[in-house]
Amino acid sequence: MNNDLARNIIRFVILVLLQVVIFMDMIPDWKYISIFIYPLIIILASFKYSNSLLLLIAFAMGLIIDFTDNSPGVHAGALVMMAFSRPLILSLFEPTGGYLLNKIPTVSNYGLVWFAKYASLMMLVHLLTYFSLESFSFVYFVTIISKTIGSFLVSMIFIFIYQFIFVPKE
Amino acid sequence: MRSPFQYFKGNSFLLFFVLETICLFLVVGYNKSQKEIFINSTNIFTGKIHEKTSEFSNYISLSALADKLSVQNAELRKQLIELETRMHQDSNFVIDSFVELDSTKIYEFLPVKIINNSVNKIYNTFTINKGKKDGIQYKQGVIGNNGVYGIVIRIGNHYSVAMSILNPEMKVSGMIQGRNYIGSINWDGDVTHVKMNDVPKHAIFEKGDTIITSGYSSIFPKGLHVGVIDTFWIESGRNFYVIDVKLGEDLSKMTYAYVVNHKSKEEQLSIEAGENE
Repeated sequence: MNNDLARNIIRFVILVLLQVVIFMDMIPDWKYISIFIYPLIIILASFKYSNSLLLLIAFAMGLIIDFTDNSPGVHAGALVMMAFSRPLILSLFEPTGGYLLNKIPTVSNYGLVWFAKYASLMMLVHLLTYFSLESFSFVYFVTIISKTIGSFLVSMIFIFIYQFIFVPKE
Repeated sequence: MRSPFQYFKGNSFLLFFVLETICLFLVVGYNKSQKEIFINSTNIFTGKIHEKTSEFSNYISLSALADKLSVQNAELRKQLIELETRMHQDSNFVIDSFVELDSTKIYEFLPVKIINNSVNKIYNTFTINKGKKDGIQYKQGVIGNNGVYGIVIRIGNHYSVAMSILNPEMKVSGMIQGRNYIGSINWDGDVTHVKMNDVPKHAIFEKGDTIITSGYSSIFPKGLHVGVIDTFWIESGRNFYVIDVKLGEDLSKMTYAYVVNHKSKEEQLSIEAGENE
């Protein structure tokens, strides 16, 4: 359990640094593409965690990103929404044998196709909420959809790359 | 092997509702009101992160920055020589171009570095590396060498956040140089252009004319370069032009800027008198 806690704290720190230092400060702003890597904290979270704990982790992670991005509530609101939808999304894609309590949702544990379906839906929930909260008006409907699609395609690439670099265990 | 729904606790929906409500309050409060909210990058910790990473990326583009500065330096030298020659030739010389200084106002420019900047959001902002301790005040203008950047909206002790000109809440009063038509400048989503409205139908101007600040508010001095006219048209049934203005600078690449501090002359005189006593 301590091992698990340490691993999650390290992942939390790595994701914050990757997001802020690399994807926000180093990469130039493109109109329709923003790269989101920090939602992995919820995507890769263990099945052992209760939903309430997931929501609190999402809120904390979101607020830290908001802090650095001058966007109070936008990242946090979107990630909390994603964390709340996770049980539903997991039940949609539940494998025949069910989920193993000690195996976190990764490509190596449940397969590439399963992970692609699960992570895509999670990311779409996150990005749609994020860009809707950012504009806070449906006048920008076309912008919201274009930004969601652009950011989704590029973020998914990095979400896969992350797993090959850091190899999440369990 | 258990379904995740077995871990669903009844109170998690309540928690979701509470957290999401807090987030909504933060979003609405930040966009609609100008009061200081704790969560922004003016705090020391995230300010430091942005500062370090911007130092690093500036280091990479150091030669490009040096080129830019030397071009600007050459331009300033040229203007200085021109002014000196004209002053020697003409005893009745008055400054009528470049920055037209209003005799009742005195402007000071504080150099700052932009350490974090967004251009692809709907409400764009940027962070500068000076704050309350350096004398930055609410609603001061931020300008660059060749353009208007924004207005300070939040102040921390060491860092401040400014609303970028690429923000729908930003309004700047502009003027067509040499023709003296005034209009209001605002942004409608294109990263390289702003729109100028309220120029009357009878006005005469052409593509390529320069747009400068009008100096009607004390935020920006008169005569700062904003951009050049790209296209213009009149929407049917309206009496005013819509002018598409190409910004003088690529705002995604801004690194150095100046914060405008304006003092009235009387205030300046009284301060100076006080110091002599």
